[in-house]
Amino acid sequence: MLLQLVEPGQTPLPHEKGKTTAIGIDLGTTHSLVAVFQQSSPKVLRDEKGVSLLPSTVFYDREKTLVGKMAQEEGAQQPERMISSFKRFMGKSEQGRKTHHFNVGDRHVTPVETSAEILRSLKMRAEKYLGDNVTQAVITVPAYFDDAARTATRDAARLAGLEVLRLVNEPTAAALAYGLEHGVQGIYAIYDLGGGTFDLSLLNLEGEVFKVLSTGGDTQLGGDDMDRLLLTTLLSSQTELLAEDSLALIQARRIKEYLTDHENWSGSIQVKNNLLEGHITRLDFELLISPLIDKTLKICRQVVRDAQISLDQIKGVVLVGGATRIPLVRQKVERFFEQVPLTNINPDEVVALGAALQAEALTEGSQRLLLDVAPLSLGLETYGGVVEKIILRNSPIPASHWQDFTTFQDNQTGMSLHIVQGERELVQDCRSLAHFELQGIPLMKAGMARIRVTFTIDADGILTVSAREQTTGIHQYIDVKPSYGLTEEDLLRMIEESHSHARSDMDERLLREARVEAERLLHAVKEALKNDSDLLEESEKIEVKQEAEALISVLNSVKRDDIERKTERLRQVTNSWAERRMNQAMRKALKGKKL
Amino acid sequence: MFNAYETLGIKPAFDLVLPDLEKAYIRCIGQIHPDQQRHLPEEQRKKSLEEAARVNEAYRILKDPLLRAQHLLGLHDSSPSFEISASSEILRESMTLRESLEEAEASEAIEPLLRETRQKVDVLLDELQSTFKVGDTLKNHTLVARLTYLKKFVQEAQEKLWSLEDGDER
Repeated sequence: MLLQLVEPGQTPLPHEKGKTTAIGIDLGTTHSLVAVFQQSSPKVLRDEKGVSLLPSTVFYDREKTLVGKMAQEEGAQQPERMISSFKRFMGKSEQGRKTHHFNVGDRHVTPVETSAEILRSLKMRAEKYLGDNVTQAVITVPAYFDDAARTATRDAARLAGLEVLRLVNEPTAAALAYGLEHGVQGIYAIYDLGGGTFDLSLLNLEGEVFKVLSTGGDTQLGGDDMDRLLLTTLLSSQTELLAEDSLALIQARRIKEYLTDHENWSGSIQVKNNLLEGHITRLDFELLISPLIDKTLKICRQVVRDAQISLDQIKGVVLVGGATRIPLVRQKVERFFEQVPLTNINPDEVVALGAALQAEALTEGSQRLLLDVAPLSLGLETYGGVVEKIILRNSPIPASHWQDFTTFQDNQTGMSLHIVQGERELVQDCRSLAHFELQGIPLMKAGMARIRVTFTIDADGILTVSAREQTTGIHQYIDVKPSYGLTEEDLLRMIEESHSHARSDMDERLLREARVEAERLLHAVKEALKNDSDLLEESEKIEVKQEAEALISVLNSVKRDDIERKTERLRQVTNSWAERRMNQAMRKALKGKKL
Repeated sequence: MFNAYETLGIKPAFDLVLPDLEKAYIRCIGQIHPDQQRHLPEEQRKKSLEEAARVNEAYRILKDPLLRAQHLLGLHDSSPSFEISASSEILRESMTLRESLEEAEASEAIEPLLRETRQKVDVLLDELQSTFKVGDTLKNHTLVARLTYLKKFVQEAQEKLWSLEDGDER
């Protein structure tokens, strides 16, 4: 009696030796998913309960780390140990630190680590389904994610033991899944409003070529913000209860979802041990969120302008992300694009499916081409805090640009370059991406050195900077160090720590499974004692009862060995009894036939 | 010297058939895109990344008539200090346009300005088609200089018009 490891009716296919499947992961603000490509189509993987969405929530206890639904359940008791919506902090630095930190109990964790927990859990889900190790993945990111957030995502994957084959922009992945499934051609708009981020991409689909024309978005705008507005309104008289209460926000999210098919909601919500009565109509809610949706439409307008196309050239508008289920979002998008948006896809799953398709293409080889663009212009700070743009937004990537610099002082060996992302003219109005330190410039008179600095944005949208001195003739490579994100040492330390954590996570899971198995057997024995104890000798009956009690006594133990051994023992002493019961049942059945 | 035409394997000419450019681009990027090079060793992948960036840059330049014209002039002119210099006539035209744009407060005033300048741009592009064929370098320079100024003006007028439209909606 083994636990069912895969979905009913789905058995993993045997595969060629040494060839492992690469998975596709949608790492979302509120939910994450994993998909694999098998038998000529991508499919989303589900957990034991048949649920595909893994809540992007992590719970840190002294002993264990829990993920997803289990984290939310534990978090209900100890909310201060639960972290959610951490995607919003990916690549963000804070005062005096290169990355954001969450405090849980006596330790602090970075968004890279919490993301790695989610990735690890999805990786395990895929390994269970495939019955094999998984080491490679395509991971999706918001198109409007900046360089730092992309790098952080790649670091998280490494921490989870996954090699990133490619970071694919979420709307591009959605277009890929939608385009291939429906065999469509022409210009499509992908309107992606998720839990925490908004993206709009315009793509031209032509055969196997998926070319992004322009993209835009907001990485701090999504369904979460609507939940927050809803909660603020419901608590209008009790503002002291507000602040960041993730459990109250989860309840607000459910109310928002309820209002999708209902005209109004009334009930109670629990905020920090207070039960509060509340009431809200869909119309109230729509008035609340209307400005947020208008903000997305403003971005849409800019993206359409950037693509230099007119609205009537857009053949279809694909809705992606859970927040696009909200009726007002659909209405407003329809009015803006002057056409009914397409809804013949699951807005939660399409991104993961696209990621799995690309993972397959990258491992198996394919003619398919995903041609994406840089979402933000890249610039250098020059005299007077003015930005000189070096790579313009919506440039096709990979993109590269070089520029020559010289020294101001005799024997100057280092120099600092300030790189910003954004569209404005002044440095102060752009997002500072990094100060790169060039070190190891050869000793020369001022103005003699010619340092060629090359900026390259790769297909993942990640910037690398390389520099070399041209005049010395030796083309000396100059060290370039970014000022943000995790250092290599940080990352290595985390990877080491994660190995021990991974072990305890796995132990925790096996322990739970052993308990479930034991409970199942105990239940069967109890039922059999009720109905068929006459098939047992008195001595046997005592033995069965003894072993059952012995198993019950260790059921809550943390020693998995004990549980497993006692389970096995109970199984042994009930074996022959089970046979007798089977024979009796057969005889009864045969008798029944005769009659 | 970077040559966008060579990079995409098409012959240098100002009048490009856009679908042909598209085809050449897809053919080149399809061969060199990093997604197609995963099986190669690290060093070669790095090379192909650079090459893919060059192909993309060539496409970006040739797609846009102004960038294409400037690039073509740069290819013809061997002197590295080459810069597009505007005659006083061009500067005068540009200043007049700018003044009208500054005075224009409503979309109704900007729209005709934009329309007229766009027509001038179209005429210029037609003219460039033939002068590039003849190879009249001096004439080309003058036309491209004027095109640069007019395009810049179109951009500014368009942005002002958009910001007025966006303001109306709020």
